[in-house]
Amino acid sequence: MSKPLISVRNLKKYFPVRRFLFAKDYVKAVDGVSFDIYEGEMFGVVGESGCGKTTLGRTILLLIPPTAGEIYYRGENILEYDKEKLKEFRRRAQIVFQDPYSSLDPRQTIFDIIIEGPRYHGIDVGDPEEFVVSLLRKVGLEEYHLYRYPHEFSGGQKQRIAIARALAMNPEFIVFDEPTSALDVSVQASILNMIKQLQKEFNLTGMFISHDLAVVKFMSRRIGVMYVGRIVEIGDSDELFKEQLHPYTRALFSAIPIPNPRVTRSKKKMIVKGEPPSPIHLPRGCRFYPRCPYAMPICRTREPDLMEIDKNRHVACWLYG
Amino acid sequence: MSEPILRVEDLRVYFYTYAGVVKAVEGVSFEVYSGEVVGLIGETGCGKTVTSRALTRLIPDPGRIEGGRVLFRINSEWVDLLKLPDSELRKIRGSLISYIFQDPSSALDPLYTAGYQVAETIIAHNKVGWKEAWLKAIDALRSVLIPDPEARVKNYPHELSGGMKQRVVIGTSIVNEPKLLIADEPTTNVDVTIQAQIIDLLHQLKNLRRTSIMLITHNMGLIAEMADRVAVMYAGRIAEIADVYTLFEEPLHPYTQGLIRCVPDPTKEIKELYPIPGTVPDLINPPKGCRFWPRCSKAMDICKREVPPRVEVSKGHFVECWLYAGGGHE
Repeated sequence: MSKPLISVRNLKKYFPVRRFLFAKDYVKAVDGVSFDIYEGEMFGVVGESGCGKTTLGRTILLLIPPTAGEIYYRGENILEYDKEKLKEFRRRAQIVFQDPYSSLDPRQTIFDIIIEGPRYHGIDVGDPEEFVVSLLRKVGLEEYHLYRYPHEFSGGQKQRIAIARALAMNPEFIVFDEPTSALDVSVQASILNMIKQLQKEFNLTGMFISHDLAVVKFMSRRIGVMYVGRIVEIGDSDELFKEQLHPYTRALFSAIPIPNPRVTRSKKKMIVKGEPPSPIHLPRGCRFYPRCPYAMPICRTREPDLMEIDKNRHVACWLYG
Repeated sequence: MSEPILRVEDLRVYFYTYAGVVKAVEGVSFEVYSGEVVGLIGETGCGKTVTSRALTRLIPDPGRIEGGRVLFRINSEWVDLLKLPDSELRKIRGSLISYIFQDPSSALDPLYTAGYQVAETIIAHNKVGWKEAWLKAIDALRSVLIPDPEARVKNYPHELSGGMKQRVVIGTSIVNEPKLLIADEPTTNVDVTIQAQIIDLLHQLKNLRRTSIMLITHNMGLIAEMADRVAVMYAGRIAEIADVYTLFEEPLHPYTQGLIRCVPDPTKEIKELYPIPGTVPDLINPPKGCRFWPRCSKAMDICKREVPPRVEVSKGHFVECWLYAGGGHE
C-alpha cells in the first residue's frame, strides 16, 4: 500500500456551550480520533447524524481549529505550519459541502465562483475563461453555463459546480461531505459516478463522509465507522460488510434496509435499544455501553482505544482487547 | 387477498400559482387492501405527498382537488371522501384514517405536552373525559415503546429527541385505532438505528391490529423492507403497480427499471451506477403524452403524443407504458 497522505492523531474538537453565567459545558463533537488516509484512496466515514463526521472533515482541513491532537500532511504537522505553508495546504486540500444550495454565492456567476480560488492563490491558469470552461466540461456542464447564476441550476448541477470549484485549485485531497444527501437518487447516481471517475483522472485522495452505507461502500475501499465523536471501527469495505466486529457497527449494518426485498427480509436484524448519548454528557467508559447487548463491567469504567485486530482492521471494543 | 378498504380513482390535484397551473397529481388510481402495506415511491416533487393528503382533502391553497373519487369503506359501505361534508370528514381524520407526517418536530405543537397532544386526539373522537384520555395517552405511548411513559407524557416536544418525537406522533396517530395509517416519510428525519426501531414498530402495528398502512417514501430500501405492494409515481402519475417482489425482480416500466438500477445495493459489488438521464419535468407544462418520454431510452412516437393507458400485464401487475399497450405495433 502507498504512504499515508493525511494522518490524524488523537484529534479533538470541543465546542463550548454556556450553561449559566460563567459555567461552561462542552459538546465533544470529535473526541480522540486517529486514522490514516493513504495516497490515492477514498476513505469513507459513516455515522449517524450528530456523530461528528462533518466536524471531523472540517477540522482536518483546519476550517475550524482543533481543540487538541495532531494532523499530518505528508508527515508534516499542519498545526505547526507558518502562514505561507498553510496557504499552500489550503490550496491543496479542498472540500465539497453537503448543501449545494447554501455553498454557492447567489450573487456570483459560475465563472466568478470557480475562478475566485485560483485568483486568490495566484495560480497561473492561462486564459481564465478557457480554464473554467474546461472544468465545467469535466463535471458535465457546458460553456453557455459560464455566466449564469446559481439559482438557474438544479441541485445536481449546483453540486457539479461545487466540485468544479474544488478541482480548480488543482488539489491533492478533497473532503466530500455528504455531497449527494440533498439530491434525488437518480441524480445521486450520476454525481457518484462522476466523483469516482474524476478521482481516477486527477489522481485524488479523498475522504467521503455519508450516513448512507450503500453510498460509502460504492465510493470507498476503506471505511471508518463513527459513533458520538469516535471512530469505533475501521476496515476494508468488503470485509466490513461481511463481518462487523464492533457491536455498534453490527447494529448499524443490520439496520440499513437493502433495496432487495428477499435479501432485506431474510437478513438477521440486531435492533439496539435507546438512542445515542448527548455529546455533552457522555457516559463514562465506552460510549456505546448503555445500548450494547454485550456490555461487560470494564466497558463501564474504561474507554477502549482503537486497536489493530488484523491487517486493515481496527476496532475500539473491549470484546477484542 | 383481502378486500380493499380504499379505492382512489382518477384523482387530480392542481395548484394555481402565479407561474401557472401546476398539475401535481394527474389521474392517479390505486387501491389499498385491509391489513396490507402499500408503498408509494417516487422522487422529490412527484406528487406522492400531495396524493396522500388529497385523500382526506388536506390540500392547502392554492391547491385544489380537480376531480376523481376517493372511496373509503366504512362498515361495508363505500363513501366518497371528496364529497363528504367537512364535519363528517373531520370525524374520519385522526380516527379511521390517520397520518404520520414527515417532520415530527413540526407535527407537534411546541406549547403543549406530549400527553396533552395524544389525549386531545382521543377526546376529539371519543366520548371520554380528560382523566381517562390521559391514561389512554400513557398506554398509547407505552405501545410505541416510549420508556417510562408516565413521565414522558409531561414532557414538551423540545424535551424529546427526534426519535422520541416521531414515536409520540405515531402514538397520536394510532391511538384511535385507525383502519388506514398514512405514513409520509416516517423515518426520513431519524437515524438508521432509530429507523430500524420504527420499522419494527410499524410491523407490529400491521400484524397486531391489521391496520392498512400507506407508506410514502423515496427510499427503495425501506420499500423493500416493509411494503407488500408498491405503486411507483412519476411526475404526478402512477407508472407501475406490483407486489414488492415482482416490482424489484421484474420491473416493467422504464422509470421503475431506472430507479432500481440507480440505487446502490451494498450487498453487491458495483462498479458503476446507472443514473436516469435528464431531469424531472416542469409540471406547469408537462410533456405531452407519457410524462417520462423525454428521459426514456425506449421512447416511441406514440409516447410523445398520447398518454399510455393502464395495462394489467399479469394479475395485480399494472403498468402505464406504451411498450406494454401495443404501442409498438400501431
